[in-house]
Amino acid sequence: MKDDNLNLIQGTLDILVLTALAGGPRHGYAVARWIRETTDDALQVDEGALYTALHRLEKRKWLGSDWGLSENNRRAKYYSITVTGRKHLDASSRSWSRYAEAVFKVLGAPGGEVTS
Amino acid sequence: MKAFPGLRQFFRLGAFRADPKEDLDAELDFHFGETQREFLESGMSPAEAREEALRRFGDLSSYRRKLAAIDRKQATRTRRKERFSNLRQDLGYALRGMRRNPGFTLGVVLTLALGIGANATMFGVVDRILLTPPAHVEAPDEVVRLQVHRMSPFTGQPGIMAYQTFSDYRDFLEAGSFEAVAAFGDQDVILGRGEEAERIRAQYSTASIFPLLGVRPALGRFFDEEEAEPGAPGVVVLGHGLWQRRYGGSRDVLGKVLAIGDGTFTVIGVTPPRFNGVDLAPVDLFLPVHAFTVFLGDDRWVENRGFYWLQAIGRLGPHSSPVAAAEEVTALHLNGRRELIDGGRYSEDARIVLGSVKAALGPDAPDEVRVSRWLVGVTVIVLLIACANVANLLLARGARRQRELGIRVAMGISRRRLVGQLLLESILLAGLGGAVGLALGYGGGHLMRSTFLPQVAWFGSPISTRVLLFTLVLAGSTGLLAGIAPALKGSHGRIVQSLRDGGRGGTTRRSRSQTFLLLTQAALSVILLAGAGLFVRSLARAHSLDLGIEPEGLVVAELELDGEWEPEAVLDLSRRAAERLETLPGVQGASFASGIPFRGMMAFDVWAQGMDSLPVARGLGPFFTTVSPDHLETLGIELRAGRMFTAPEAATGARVTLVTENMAQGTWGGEAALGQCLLIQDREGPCWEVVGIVENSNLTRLTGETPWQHYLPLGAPALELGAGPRALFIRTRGDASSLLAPVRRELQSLDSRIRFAYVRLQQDLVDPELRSWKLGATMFSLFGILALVVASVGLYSVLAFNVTRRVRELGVRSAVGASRGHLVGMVLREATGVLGLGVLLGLILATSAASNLGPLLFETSPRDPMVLASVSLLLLLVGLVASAIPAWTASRVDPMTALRTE
Repeated sequence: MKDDNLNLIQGTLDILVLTALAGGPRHGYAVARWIRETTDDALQVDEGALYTALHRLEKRKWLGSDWGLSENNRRAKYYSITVTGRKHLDASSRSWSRYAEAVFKVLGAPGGEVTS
Repeated sequence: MKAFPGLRQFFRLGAFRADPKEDLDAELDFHFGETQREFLESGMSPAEAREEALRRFGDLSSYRRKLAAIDRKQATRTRRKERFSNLRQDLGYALRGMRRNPGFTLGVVLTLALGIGANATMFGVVDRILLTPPAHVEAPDEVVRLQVHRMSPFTGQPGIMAYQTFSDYRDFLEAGSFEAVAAFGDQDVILGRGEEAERIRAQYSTASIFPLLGVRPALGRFFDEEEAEPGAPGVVVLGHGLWQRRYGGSRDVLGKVLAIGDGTFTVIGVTPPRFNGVDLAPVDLFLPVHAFTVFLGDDRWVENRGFYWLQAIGRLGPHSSPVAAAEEVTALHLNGRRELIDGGRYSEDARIVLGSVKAALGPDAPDEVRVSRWLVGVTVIVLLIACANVANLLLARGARRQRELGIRVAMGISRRRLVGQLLLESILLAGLGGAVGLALGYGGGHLMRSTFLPQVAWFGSPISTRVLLFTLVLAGSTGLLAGIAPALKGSHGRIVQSLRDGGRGGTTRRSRSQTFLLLTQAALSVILLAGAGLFVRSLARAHSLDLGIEPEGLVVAELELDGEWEPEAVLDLSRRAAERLETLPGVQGASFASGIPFRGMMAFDVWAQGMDSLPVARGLGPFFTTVSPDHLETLGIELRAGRMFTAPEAATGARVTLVTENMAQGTWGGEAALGQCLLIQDREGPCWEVVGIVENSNLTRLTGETPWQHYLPLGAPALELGAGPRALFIRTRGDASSLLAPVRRELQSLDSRIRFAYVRLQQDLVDPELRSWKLGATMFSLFGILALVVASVGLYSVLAFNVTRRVRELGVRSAVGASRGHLVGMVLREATGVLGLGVLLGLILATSAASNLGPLLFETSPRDPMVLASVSLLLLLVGLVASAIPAWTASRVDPMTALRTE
């Protein structure tokens, strides 16, 4: 089971977080839950790492934050993507797609099959 | 969803700043709360839910640390940014304010510039002479001067003597407390021959001085112990300045043989730049101490315990205490002089004291240096006055801006920021003042160097890095000092009240701080003006002093001769020279004599026949001068009684003498001196008859009693006493300085054995005597007037401001029948009250500080009532003039207009 989990590199986590927030402001729990549900729990990422990414991106001004009330009326910190963050998301998702395409091409090429 | 997003952000900027740590806790609490709830809903037990939530999060404490670190960094960055943007805002605000009020800005900047400029100037001077140890001296704190504390053999006064004999120095060599001891003495010598010859300053020193100081040559090497021995072949080390100037800084100079005085010396090295030994005056070259024999012509100085010409320095050993070291050398000193002490010719109380290596702190520091030390205090006072004045202007402006400041407080600006803003304004003003002050300091530094302290070797620009730094710090602290009170006051809570009553402050009385500042200014001005008055009076008295001679238009020429000369030959040469010089156009007469006024005088032992001994003169002397015919005429010394020398007496010499009035009075009680007998050198010897009495002449120095003098005709009898001619004197018509070059040319061409003719104006020999009073008079006056102007501007602005502020009150008074005179009186009373008190305070301070100034003045009491009275009067007068305009304004207040401003 564990071996199937993807090893996440930092940049990937950033993109995931930015994508999670692309649709609108969310608090940290909602981001975690969104990632869990969207990936069917395939990415077993520490939620602590997720929060680290949120705070780091906020410091980098890719995210902004505000305090507000949650759905069940509790004080929660809402993150939202900034213009800079969105620009960065666009740029990196483009390069990600290119990278993934290239990897798929390699994997699909003759003689590229790996046997273990 | 969330309510009022951004609202908190808005508040955060203004009122309070949230703690990032609390925020983090709240965020994580929320996260765990939600996650557990989710798991509970999916059917887990509370314990399981909690565990799962924690598992999913990872290592909680490590993540928490990481998150806190990120947040802290972010918070710092935000704060810094905020502060920076505030500063930029405040700066813009301050600059706009300055531009809006150019008159105010100009006044403040100029006031501060003068204060800061004066301080920059004096700091440059003090830094060189007091703060910086001599250049190239390693560990200067260990180097001390060995000075003798005893009765001076020259003045008979107790005091510290810098100079010692060579034998004394040799005694010091035994002292174990010192790692090394060295001695040096300065002497002007002639370098080169013929046209190329010039007079330069040589320092004769023991070889130990270079390793003792730790200086390293820029080129070649220094002389060693062997080369400094008597009889060693002559070697010389060139000073860097002379090397550059005369030899173009060429390395080929090593090995060159130079003619110096009567000897020849081989160049073996060059000192590093700015090296002058340990004194302030520039030194052109360094010679081994025994080369002094070549200069003097004999080596009696080596053993003679009466030949004071060397200064001794030592480097204390690592474990020796200064007190023990002083005791040790004192014992050695007394031991070496045991014979003299036993013979009653030296005081057993003599002690050696250890002086600072810094020459300006020593006993023989010139008066100009002492005056400079006072001037430092003066410039500080000037700056304080400037500060007080600027503070006052700022206070007045702050009061005028009460309404504006009130509005800003009402808008929610924090008190801290407001104070910062107001301080920024004053610092900005001080910064501008500092920039202008730096320019003033540059000019002032040049003036001080060239005019008042020319005997000090100066290097580099008057604005050195240290001066620059000092000025910067000074400007900053001046801004703070002047701005702090107004800023605190301006940000005060009373502002809100001032808004309430419309910013008129109709009933507010003049603030206590303003009165205090005015008082301070007045008092400090009195002190400075009193100082100025005392120095001006000293200078005036010194100027009007009847020297007995007329230095103006008098040229003095000294001849340096090659080879051995019989006294008769020198006399003959002098006669020929005087005859030749009298043919020059513009020359009225020429003469020669054995002494040069203000260049040192000689004294014989003399007795009056029929008396046991000559009464002790209150001044010095009696000094004698042997003179050629017409010499007294050339100098401008007049006959009082009896007769001058007759032509035959003057031509061939005779045992006759002229004495000065004070000598005649002191010895024989006046004209009874005529016909009396003076015994010279030999108590049993022939009689020198007093044939005339001439006016007193002050030929040594201006301070103190006028010494007794007597004159002998130059001829065989005078030569027997060993007092041949030493210099020629030329009385000129018109501009004497234009004759310097012709006189020198004429003398150099007279005889091939004349190595160098040193031609100077007598006035140039007198002027240095006046320099310290000139310095004091000029600078004190300058600063005193400055202080007066600044203080009166301050008084004017405060009074004017108060009148404007009290317009309503004055209007009411006028409406209920107060006369114009009454209103004018009100303002003037206010002014005189402050001024009177300030003057009183200043007088008290000035008189209590005065006693220290005494020794620097000339025939002027430091509590001279005339000076103090006129200074007080001047200040009161100027103060009243300054308050005249506000008083006039007050009398013009129209009750109707005043009340309508409601």
